[in-house]
Amino acid sequence: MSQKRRRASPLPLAALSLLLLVVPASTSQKARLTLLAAFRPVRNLASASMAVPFRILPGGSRQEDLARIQYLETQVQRLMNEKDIALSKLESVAAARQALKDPEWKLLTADVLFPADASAWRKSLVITLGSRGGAQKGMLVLHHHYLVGRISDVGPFTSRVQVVTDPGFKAAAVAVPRTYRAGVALGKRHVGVYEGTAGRPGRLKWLLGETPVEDDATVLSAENPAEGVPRGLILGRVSKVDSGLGPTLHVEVEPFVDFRALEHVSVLVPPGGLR
Amino acid sequence: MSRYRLTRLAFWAAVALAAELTLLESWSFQGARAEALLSLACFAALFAHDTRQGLLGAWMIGLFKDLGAAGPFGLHALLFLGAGWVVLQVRTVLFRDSPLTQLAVAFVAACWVNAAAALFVCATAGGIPLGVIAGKTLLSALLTAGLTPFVHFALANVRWMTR
Repeated sequence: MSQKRRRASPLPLAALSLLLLVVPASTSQKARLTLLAAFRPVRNLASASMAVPFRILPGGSRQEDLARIQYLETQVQRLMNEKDIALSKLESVAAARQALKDPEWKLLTADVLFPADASAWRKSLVITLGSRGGAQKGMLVLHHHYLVGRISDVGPFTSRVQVVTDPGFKAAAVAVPRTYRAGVALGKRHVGVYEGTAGRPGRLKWLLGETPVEDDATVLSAENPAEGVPRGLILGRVSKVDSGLGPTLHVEVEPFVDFRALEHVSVLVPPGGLR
Repeated sequence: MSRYRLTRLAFWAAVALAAELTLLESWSFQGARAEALLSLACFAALFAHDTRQGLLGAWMIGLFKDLGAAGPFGLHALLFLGAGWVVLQVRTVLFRDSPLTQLAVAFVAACWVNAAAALFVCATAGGIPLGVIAGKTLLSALLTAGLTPFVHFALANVRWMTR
Protein backbone atom coordinates (compact mmCIF):
# COMPACT_ATOMS: atom_id res chain seq x y z
CA MET A 1 0.00 0.00 0.00
CA SER A 2 1.45 3.33 -0.97
CA GLN A 3 1.46 6.04 1.65
CA LYS A 4 0.79 9.64 0.85
CA ARG A 5 3.71 11.64 2.20
CA ARG A 6 2.97 15.01 3.70
CA ARG A 7 5.17 17.92 2.58
CA ALA A 8 5.93 20.62 5.10
CA SER A 9 7.72 23.91 4.83
CA PRO A 10 10.64 24.71 7.13
CA LEU A 11 9.71 28.40 7.12
CA PRO A 12 7.49 28.49 10.25
CA LEU A 13 10.18 26.78 12.33
CA ALA A 14 12.89 28.98 10.77
CA ALA A 15 10.85 32.08 11.62
CA LEU A 16 10.41 30.83 15.19
CA SER A 17 14.17 30.24 15.47
CA LEU A 18 14.89 33.75 14.19
CA LEU A 19 12.43 35.13 16.71
CA LEU A 20 14.23 33.25 19.49
CA LEU A 21 17.57 34.49 18.15
CA VAL A 22 16.66 38.14 18.56
CA VAL A 23 15.66 37.60 22.18
CA PRO A 24 18.73 38.58 24.27
CA ALA A 25 20.65 35.52 25.51
CA SER A 26 20.46 36.77 29.10
CA THR A 27 16.65 36.50 28.96
CA SER A 28 16.64 32.85 27.99
CA GLN A 29 19.75 31.80 29.94
CA LYS A 30 17.96 31.82 33.30
CA ALA A 31 15.40 29.30 32.02
CA ARG A 32 18.12 27.27 30.28
CA LEU A 33 20.29 27.13 33.40
CA THR A 34 17.29 26.10 35.48
CA LEU A 35 16.59 23.29 33.01
CA LEU A 36 20.25 22.25 33.08
CA ALA A 37 19.99 22.00 36.87
CA ALA A 38 17.72 19.02 36.19
CA PHE A 39 20.87 17.11 35.23
CA ARG A 40 22.22 17.56 38.75
CA PRO A 41 20.58 14.38 40.09
CA VAL A 42 22.13 12.43 37.20
CA ARG A 43 25.55 13.70 38.21
CA ASN A 44 24.94 12.65 41.80
CA LEU A 45 23.61 9.25 40.74
CA ALA A 46 27.04 7.69 40.41
CA SER A 47 28.14 8.65 43.92
CA ALA A 48 24.73 7.78 45.36
CA SER A 49 24.86 4.33 43.79
CA MET A 50 27.91 3.64 45.96
CA ALA A 51 25.63 3.70 48.99
CA VAL A 52 23.31 0.94 47.80
CA PRO A 53 23.36 -1.46 50.74
CA PHE A 54 24.60 -4.92 49.89
CA ARG A 55 22.67 -6.30 52.84
CA ILE A 56 19.49 -6.47 50.75
CA LEU A 57 21.06 -9.44 48.99
CA PRO A 58 19.33 -12.68 49.92
CA GLY A 59 21.32 -15.44 51.63
CA GLY A 60 22.35 -17.01 54.93
CA SER A 61 23.99 -15.24 57.86
CA ARG A 62 27.56 -15.71 56.55
CA GLN A 63 26.60 -14.23 53.21
CA GLU A 64 24.87 -11.40 55.05
CA ASP A 65 28.03 -10.71 57.06
CA LEU A 66 30.15 -10.71 53.92
CA ALA A 67 27.70 -8.38 52.22
CA ARG A 68 27.75 -6.09 55.27
CA ILE A 69 31.56 -5.98 55.25
CA GLN A 70 31.50 -5.14 51.55
CA TYR A 71 28.94 -2.42 52.19
CA LEU A 72 31.02 -0.91 55.01
CA GLU A 73 34.16 -1.05 52.86
CA THR A 74 32.28 0.85 50.16
CA GLN A 75 31.14 3.41 52.70
CA VAL A 76 34.71 3.89 53.95
CA GLN A 77 35.87 4.37 50.36
CA ARG A 78 33.09 6.89 49.74
CA LEU A 79 34.01 8.85 52.86
CA MET A 80 37.68 8.80 51.87
CA ASN A 81 36.72 10.20 48.46
CA GLU A 82 34.62 12.92 50.10
CA LYS A 83 37.55 13.78 52.38
CA ASP A 84 39.87 14.03 49.36
CA ILE A 85 37.41 16.33 47.59
CA ALA A 86 37.08 18.53 50.70
CA LEU A 87 40.88 18.70 51.04
CA SER A 88 41.22 19.60 47.37
CA LYS A 89 38.66 22.41 47.79
CA LEU A 90 40.50 23.66 50.87
CA GLU A 91 43.81 23.67 48.98
CA SER A 92 42.21 25.57 46.11
CA VAL A 93 40.74 28.21 48.41
CA ALA A 94 44.01 28.54 50.36
CA ALA A 95 45.96 29.07 47.12
CA ALA A 96 43.44 31.64 45.88
CA ARG A 97 43.52 33.40 49.24
CA GLN A 98 47.33 33.63 49.01
CA ALA A 99 47.10 35.31 45.62
CA LEU A 100 44.59 37.89 46.85
CA LYS A 101 46.32 40.68 48.70
CA ASP A 102 43.10 42.14 50.13
CA PRO A 103 41.58 39.97 52.90
CA GLU A 104 38.18 41.56 52.21
CA TRP A 105 37.71 39.41 49.07
CA LYS A 106 35.43 36.45 49.78
CA LEU A 107 35.45 33.03 48.14
CA LEU A 108 32.47 30.75 47.54
CA THR A 109 33.07 27.17 46.44
CA ALA A 110 31.01 25.44 43.76
CA ASP A 111 31.03 22.10 41.96
CA VAL A 112 31.25 21.93 38.18
CA LEU A 113 28.06 20.45 36.74
CA PHE A 114 29.10 20.47 33.07
CA PRO A 115 32.72 21.23 32.19
CA ALA A 116 31.98 22.20 28.58
CA ASP A 117 29.71 24.16 26.26
CA ALA A 118 27.44 22.46 23.74
CA SER A 119 28.66 24.85 21.06
CA ALA A 120 32.02 24.01 19.51
CA TRP A 121 32.93 27.71 19.38
CA ARG A 122 31.98 28.86 22.86
CA LYS A 123 33.90 27.91 25.99
CA SER A 124 31.81 27.84 29.11
CA LEU A 125 31.07 25.61 32.05
CA VAL A 126 28.07 25.27 34.33
CA ILE A 127 28.58 25.40 38.09
CA THR A 128 26.24 24.43 40.90
CA LEU A 129 26.05 27.88 42.44
CA GLY A 130 23.24 30.22 41.49
CA SER A 131 21.78 33.51 42.62
CA ARG A 132 20.36 31.80 45.72
CA GLY A 133 23.91 30.85 46.74
CA GLY A 134 25.25 34.38 46.20
CA ALA A 135 26.51 34.20 42.61
CA GLN A 136 26.24 37.34 40.49
CA LYS A 137 26.90 38.08 36.86
CA GLY A 138 30.45 39.36 36.36
CA MET A 139 32.04 37.58 39.33
CA LEU A 140 35.38 35.90 38.64
CA VAL A 141 35.84 32.15 38.98
CA LEU A 142 39.15 30.66 40.12
CA HIS A 143 40.82 27.30 40.53
CA HIS A 144 43.63 27.71 43.04
CA HIS A 145 45.12 31.04 41.88
CA TYR A 146 44.39 30.38 38.20
CA LEU A 147 41.67 32.41 36.56
CA VAL A 148 39.00 30.10 35.11
CA GLY A 149 36.62 32.74 33.81
CA ARG A 150 33.77 35.06 34.64
CA ILE A 151 30.12 34.32 35.45
CA SER A 152 28.13 35.30 32.38
CA ASP A 153 24.63 34.13 33.33
CA VAL A 154 23.03 33.27 36.62
CA GLY A 155 20.11 30.95 37.32
CA PRO A 156 18.59 30.26 40.74
CA PHE A 157 20.66 27.10 41.33
CA THR A 158 23.31 27.13 38.60
CA SER A 159 25.47 29.64 36.76
CA ARG A 160 27.28 29.68 33.43
CA VAL A 161 30.95 30.63 33.54
CA GLN A 162 32.53 32.15 30.44
CA VAL A 163 35.95 30.47 30.40
CA VAL A 164 39.09 32.50 29.60
CA THR A 165 39.42 30.66 26.26
CA ASP A 166 35.98 31.84 25.06
CA PRO A 167 36.19 34.32 22.16
CA GLY A 168 34.03 36.73 24.15
CA PHE A 169 36.36 36.81 27.18
CA LYS A 170 38.54 39.88 27.53
CA ALA A 171 40.66 41.11 30.43
CA ALA A 172 43.57 43.48 30.99
CA ALA A 173 46.73 41.43 31.49
CA VAL A 174 50.50 41.67 31.78
CA ALA A 175 53.25 39.23 30.83
CA VAL A 176 55.72 38.86 33.67
CA PRO A 177 59.18 37.84 32.43
CA ARG A 178 60.33 34.76 34.29
CA THR A 179 63.89 36.02 34.68
CA TYR A 180 63.05 38.94 36.98
CA ARG A 181 59.61 38.12 38.22
CA ALA A 182 60.07 39.26 41.82
CA GLY A 183 60.27 42.84 42.92
CA VAL A 184 58.95 44.53 39.78
CA ALA A 185 55.79 46.62 40.18
CA LEU A 186 53.08 45.30 37.84
CA GLY A 187 51.67 48.78 37.32
CA LYS A 188 54.84 49.85 35.53
CA ARG A 189 54.56 47.14 32.91
CA HIS A 190 52.88 47.41 29.57
CA VAL A 191 49.34 46.21 30.00
CA GLY A 192 47.72 44.40 27.08
CA VAL A 193 44.33 42.88 26.44
CA TYR A 194 43.99 39.14 26.86
CA GLU A 195 41.22 37.45 24.85
CA GLY A 196 40.11 33.89 24.14
CA THR A 197 40.08 32.36 20.67
CA ALA A 198 37.83 29.27 21.08
CA GLY A 199 41.01 27.20 20.71
CA ARG A 200 43.33 26.03 23.46
CA PRO A 201 45.60 29.12 23.50
CA GLY A 202 44.34 32.64 24.05
CA ARG A 203 46.13 35.76 22.82
CA LEU A 204 47.52 38.88 24.38
CA LYS A 205 46.95 41.90 22.15
CA TRP A 206 47.84 45.55 21.94
CA LEU A 207 51.33 45.18 23.41
CA LEU A 208 53.78 47.59 21.81
CA GLY A 209 56.75 46.10 19.98
CA GLU A 210 59.27 47.14 22.67
CA THR A 211 57.35 45.40 25.47
CA PRO A 212 59.59 42.74 27.04
CA VAL A 213 57.70 39.48 26.47
CA GLU A 214 59.53 36.18 26.38
CA ASP A 215 58.51 32.55 25.94
CA ASP A 216 57.24 30.87 29.11
CA ALA A 217 56.54 34.23 30.78
CA THR A 218 53.54 34.06 33.10
CA VAL A 219 50.53 36.14 32.10
CA LEU A 220 48.72 37.72 35.04
CA SER A 221 45.55 39.76 35.36
CA ALA A 222 45.95 43.51 35.79
CA GLU A 223 43.87 45.25 38.44
CA ASN A 224 40.46 46.49 37.32
CA PRO A 225 38.36 47.47 40.35
CA ALA A 226 35.39 48.50 38.20
CA GLU A 227 34.94 44.92 37.00
CA GLY A 228 36.01 43.28 40.26
CA VAL A 229 39.32 41.97 38.92
CA PRO A 230 42.25 41.87 41.35
CA ARG A 231 45.80 41.86 40.03
CA GLY A 232 48.02 38.81 39.98
CA LEU A 233 45.61 36.02 38.99
CA ILE A 234 47.27 33.63 36.56
CA LEU A 235 45.84 33.45 33.04
CA GLY A 236 48.50 31.21 31.50
CA ARG A 237 52.00 31.21 30.11
CA VAL A 238 53.35 32.69 26.91
CA SER A 239 53.77 29.91 24.34
CA LYS A 240 54.62 31.97 21.26
CA VAL A 241 55.69 35.55 20.55
CA ASP A 242 55.47 36.96 17.05
CA SER A 243 56.63 40.53 16.46
CA GLY A 244 55.25 40.44 12.88
CA LEU A 245 55.21 43.51 10.65
CA GLY A 246 52.86 45.72 12.65
CA PRO A 247 53.68 47.90 15.67
CA THR A 248 52.15 45.45 18.17
CA LEU A 249 53.18 41.98 19.30
CA HIS A 250 51.12 38.82 18.71
CA VAL A 251 51.42 36.74 21.85
CA GLU A 252 49.87 33.30 22.33
CA VAL A 253 48.95 32.38 25.89
CA GLU A 254 48.52 28.75 26.92
CA PRO A 255 46.37 28.23 30.04
CA PHE A 256 47.89 26.12 32.82
CA VAL A 257 44.56 24.53 33.69
CA ASP A 258 42.70 21.89 31.68
CA PHE A 259 39.21 23.30 32.13
CA ARG A 260 37.56 20.02 31.07
CA ALA A 261 39.04 18.30 34.11
CA LEU A 262 37.74 20.78 36.69
CA GLU A 263 35.48 19.32 39.37
CA HIS A 264 35.15 22.33 41.64
CA VAL A 265 35.97 26.03 41.51
CA SER A 266 35.93 29.11 43.74
CA VAL A 267 33.81 32.17 42.99
CA LEU A 268 35.44 35.45 43.92
CA VAL A 269 33.22 37.98 45.67
CA PRO A 270 34.71 41.50 45.66
CA PRO A 271 34.53 43.57 48.85
CA GLY A 272 31.20 45.39 48.81
CA GLY A 273 29.94 43.29 45.86
CA LEU A 274 30.15 44.12 42.18
CA ARG A 275 29.59 47.69 41.07
CA MET B 1 5.42 3.37 8.92
CA SER B 2 7.24 5.76 11.23
CA ARG B 3 10.79 4.76 12.22
CA TYR B 4 10.68 6.84 15.40
CA ARG B 5 8.54 8.81 17.80
CA LEU B 6 9.46 12.40 18.58
CA THR B 7 9.09 11.89 22.35
CA ARG B 8 11.64 9.06 22.28
CA LEU B 9 13.93 11.19 20.18
CA ALA B 10 13.64 14.00 22.76
CA PHE B 11 14.77 11.57 25.46
CA TRP B 12 17.79 10.51 23.41
CA ALA B 13 18.55 14.16 22.68
CA ALA B 14 18.79 14.81 26.45
CA VAL B 15 21.08 11.79 26.81
CA ALA B 16 23.19 12.94 23.85
CA LEU B 17 23.47 16.44 25.32
CA ALA B 18 24.75 15.05 28.62
CA ALA B 19 27.16 12.77 26.70
CA GLU B 20 28.45 15.66 24.57
CA LEU B 21 29.13 17.84 27.59
CA THR B 22 30.90 15.15 29.60
CA LEU B 23 32.09 11.96 27.91
CA LEU B 24 32.59 13.17 24.34
CA GLU B 25 34.21 16.38 25.59
CA SER B 26 36.75 14.38 27.57
CA TRP B 27 37.49 12.35 24.41
CA SER B 28 37.84 15.48 22.27
CA PHE B 29 40.84 15.70 19.97
CA GLN B 30 42.58 19.06 19.43
CA GLY B 31 39.51 20.76 20.89
CA ALA B 32 37.11 19.09 18.42
CA ARG B 33 34.59 16.49 19.52
CA ALA B 34 32.04 14.17 17.96
CA GLU B 35 28.61 15.85 17.87
CA ALA B 36 26.14 13.26 19.09
CA LEU B 37 23.19 15.65 18.78
CA LEU B 38 23.96 16.31 15.14
CA SER B 39 24.14 12.56 14.47
CA LEU B 40 20.71 12.31 16.05
CA ALA B 41 19.38 15.17 13.91
CA CYS B 42 20.66 13.41 10.77
CA PHE B 43 18.81 10.28 11.91
CA ALA B 44 15.66 12.37 12.44
CA ALA B 45 15.85 13.68 8.88
CA LEU B 46 16.95 10.45 7.16
CA PHE B 47 14.43 8.15 8.84
CA ALA B 48 11.43 10.49 9.19
CA HIS B 49 7.98 9.31 8.17
CA ASP B 50 7.34 12.59 6.40
CA THR B 51 8.91 16.02 5.92
CA ARG B 52 7.02 17.51 8.87
CA GLN B 53 8.33 14.91 11.31
CA GLY B 54 11.88 15.24 9.96
CA LEU B 55 11.91 19.03 10.24
CA LEU B 56 10.36 19.00 13.69
CA GLY B 57 12.80 16.35 14.88
CA ALA B 58 15.89 18.18 13.62
CA TRP B 59 14.66 21.52 15.01
CA MET B 60 13.84 20.04 18.41
CA ILE B 61 17.29 18.42 18.68
CA GLY B 62 18.81 21.81 17.80
CA LEU B 63 16.90 23.32 20.72
CA PHE B 64 18.49 20.74 23.04
CA LYS B 65 21.89 21.81 21.73
CA ASP B 66 20.99 25.44 22.46
CA LEU B 67 20.05 24.45 26.00
CA GLY B 68 23.68 23.60 26.77
CA ALA B 69 25.25 26.46 24.83
CA ALA B 70 26.18 30.00 25.71
CA GLY B 71 24.87 32.58 23.26
CA PRO B 72 21.41 33.18 21.84
CA PHE B 73 18.74 30.51 22.02
CA GLY B 74 17.62 29.20 18.64
CA LEU B 75 20.91 29.35 16.72
CA HIS B 76 21.52 25.60 16.62
CA ALA B 77 17.80 24.96 16.13
CA LEU B 78 17.98 27.06 12.97
CA LEU B 79 21.19 25.42 11.74
CA PHE B 80 19.94 21.89 12.44
CA LEU B 81 16.68 22.77 10.71
CA GLY B 82 18.64 23.86 7.63
CA ALA B 83 20.69 20.66 7.64
CA GLY B 84 17.56 18.55 8.17
CA TRP B 85 15.72 20.28 5.34
CA VAL B 86 18.55 19.62 2.88
CA VAL B 87 18.70 15.95 3.92
CA LEU B 88 14.92 15.66 3.48
CA GLN B 89 15.20 17.13 -0.03
CA VAL B 90 17.81 14.65 -1.19
CA ARG B 91 16.92 11.55 0.78
CA THR B 92 14.84 10.06 -2.02
CA VAL B 93 18.05 9.51 -3.96
CA LEU B 94 19.99 8.26 -0.94
CA PHE B 95 20.27 4.70 0.36
CA ARG B 96 19.72 5.70 3.96
CA ASP B 97 20.50 2.28 5.48
CA SER B 98 24.04 2.35 4.13
CA PRO B 99 26.66 3.35 6.73
CA LEU B 100 28.55 5.19 3.98
CA THR B 101 25.51 7.37 3.23
CA GLN B 102 25.05 8.11 6.93
CA LEU B 103 28.74 8.93 7.26
CA ALA B 104 28.68 11.30 4.29
CA VAL B 105 25.46 13.02 5.39
CA ALA B 106 26.82 13.57 8.91
CA PHE B 107 30.14 14.89 7.57
CA VAL B 108 28.50 17.48 5.31
CA ALA B 109 25.96 18.46 7.98
CA ALA B 110 28.70 18.87 10.61
CA CYS B 111 30.77 21.02 8.24
CA TRP B 112 27.75 23.27 7.58
CA VAL B 113 26.67 23.59 11.23
CA ASN B 114 30.18 24.21 12.58
CA ALA B 115 31.19 26.69 9.89
CA ALA B 116 27.94 28.66 10.18
CA ALA B 117 28.08 28.66 14.00
CA ALA B 118 31.71 29.84 13.88
CA LEU B 119 30.82 32.75 11.61
CA PHE B 120 27.95 33.69 13.92
CA VAL B 121 30.24 33.62 17.00
CA CYS B 122 32.87 35.69 15.13
CA ALA B 123 30.22 38.29 14.31
CA THR B 124 28.62 38.45 17.76
CA ALA B 125 31.14 37.43 20.44
CA GLY B 126 34.72 37.79 19.23
CA GLY B 127 37.16 36.80 16.54
CA ILE B 128 38.27 33.20 16.03
CA PRO B 129 41.45 32.62 13.97
CA LEU B 130 40.75 31.14 10.52
CA GLY B 131 43.07 28.20 11.17
CA VAL B 132 41.11 27.28 14.30
CA ILE B 133 37.81 27.45 12.39
CA ALA B 134 39.06 25.29 9.52
CA GLY B 135 40.85 22.74 11.70
CA LYS B 136 38.12 22.30 14.27
CA THR B 137 35.34 22.19 11.66
CA LEU B 138 37.05 19.42 9.69
CA LEU B 139 38.10 17.43 12.75
CA SER B 140 34.69 17.71 14.35
CA ALA B 141 33.00 16.68 11.08
CA LEU B 142 35.28 13.64 10.81
CA LEU B 143 34.61 12.59 14.41
CA THR B 144 30.85 13.12 13.98
CA ALA B 145 30.88 11.14 10.74
CA GLY B 146 32.75 8.33 12.51
CA LEU B 147 30.18 8.20 15.30
CA THR B 148 27.06 8.46 13.13
CA PRO B 149 26.82 4.92 11.61
CA PHE B 150 26.91 3.42 15.13
CA VAL B 151 24.24 5.83 16.42
CA HIS B 152 22.03 5.20 13.38
CA PHE B 153 22.51 1.44 13.55
CA ALA B 154 21.39 1.37 17.19
CA LEU B 155 18.43 3.69 16.65
CA ALA B 156 17.25 1.99 13.46
CA ASN B 157 17.57 -1.57 14.72
CA VAL B 158 16.78 -1.50 18.44
CA ARG B 159 13.02 -1.02 18.35
CA TRP B 160 12.43 0.15 21.95
CA MET B 161 14.90 2.99 21.54
CA THR B 162 12.80 4.92 19.09
CA ARG B 163 9.23 3.54 19.13
